[in-house]
Amino acid sequence: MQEITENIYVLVTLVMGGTFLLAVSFLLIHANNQNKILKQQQVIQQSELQHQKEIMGAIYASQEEERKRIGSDLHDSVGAALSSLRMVIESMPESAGTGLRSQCKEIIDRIIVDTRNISHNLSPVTLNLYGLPEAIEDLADVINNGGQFQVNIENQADESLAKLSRSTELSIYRILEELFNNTIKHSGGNQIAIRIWEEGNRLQLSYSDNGKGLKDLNNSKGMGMGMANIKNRLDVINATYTFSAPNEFRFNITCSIPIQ
Amino acid sequence: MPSFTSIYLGIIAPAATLIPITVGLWKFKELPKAMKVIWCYVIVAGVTNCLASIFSNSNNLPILHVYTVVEFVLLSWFYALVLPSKTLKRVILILAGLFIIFGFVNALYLQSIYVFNSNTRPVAALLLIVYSLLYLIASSPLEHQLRWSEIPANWANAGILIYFSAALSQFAFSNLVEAKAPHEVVLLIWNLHGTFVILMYILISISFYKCKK
Repeated sequence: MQEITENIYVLVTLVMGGTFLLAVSFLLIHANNQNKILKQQQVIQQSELQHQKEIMGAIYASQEEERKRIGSDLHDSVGAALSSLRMVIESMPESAGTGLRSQCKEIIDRIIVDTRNISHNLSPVTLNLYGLPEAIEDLADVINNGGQFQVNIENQADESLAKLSRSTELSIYRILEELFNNTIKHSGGNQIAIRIWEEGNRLQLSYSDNGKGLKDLNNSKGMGMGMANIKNRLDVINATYTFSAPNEFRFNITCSIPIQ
Repeated sequence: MPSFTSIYLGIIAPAATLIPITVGLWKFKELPKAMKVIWCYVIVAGVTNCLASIFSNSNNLPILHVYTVVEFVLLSWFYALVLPSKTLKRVILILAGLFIIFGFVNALYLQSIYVFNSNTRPVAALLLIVYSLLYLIASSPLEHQLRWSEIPANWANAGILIYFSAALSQFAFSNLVEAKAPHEVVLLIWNLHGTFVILMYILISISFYKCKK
């Protein structure tokens, strides 16, 4: 007992060192465990996100497939039926009434044009036949012909565009359609600029208009259906995007798309 | 020429309070309420160190008696803010109140204010170790979705746990060691204590630095 009391300071020093080491070890183990739990949670979230992307991709793919089927049905059956009807009216005797004949022909011609437009819209023929650059030009031409908007395209990435997969091409096409639609309906502007270029192994696509812009672009709650759709399509093709407002244009979105 | 020990214990360790005070001041607007309480604690520690230095020629242990109570109340307040359970918060605040009474009773009836308060200080240390462990049990990385090192309160809690665990035996046996051990050994133990204090201040500084709006 005497010895223990005499060496109390040694014991105190040892206990101080020991408890210090114990506390530090305990904290390190705790921090390590917490980080592991966080990592596992992040992996689960990541795989859930990937799963959602895959579901979204499948939805878009089946949607496109359905559009294609309806488009071709419209073109082949309704279009063909209308053409036959037109020929029947053509072959009607003059006595049936010239006025009625030409009126019927006019209506049928208009329905044929509308059907073709709907059919092409459902399944973009230019994209299928000539590829994305031509399809974008085609979209721009339609808008330019309206006379209300002027679309300028600066494409510096023809080679990269050719390397894109079919689903990515379709996504870009649909995104541009949606953006054009937004500009026409809501922007109040009259100019649209599209710039496409390559940066590293990514394709950059910038879309701007000189309209009134959009509020709360980074707030997903404030997004309309159109912008939410654009965001989903970009997510599915693993693209990132940023919003900015350069000098003369009040709305700008720049998408960065991985080239396969 | 002053010895290493007198520089270390008289200047370096007390001056180390300036590190968390400065970092806390720099980040003050970004500090949540719990961290502001810790900042008040380091201010109190800094002021106490200054007073202890001023009265170093006489017995300055009465300051420690008061400091122990204030320190425990402030750190209890910190844990009452960071712990999620309402019952625990209530228990912590009740214990803080009881500890104030214990501090007075100890200083008036149990121990002279001119000796090391080996009754109150180990009790405070033990309770703070328990609070610290309760914090570790209650804290979840999923709540903030952040790595352990990115959560400010984790660093302050680590500092408190390390310091009070390591110094517990010294607090309990301080008077005994003082009476039995050679002066050099007593100083060695106080040097060790000073190192743990500095480590706690550094960890608290990191916790202030990690605070973001």
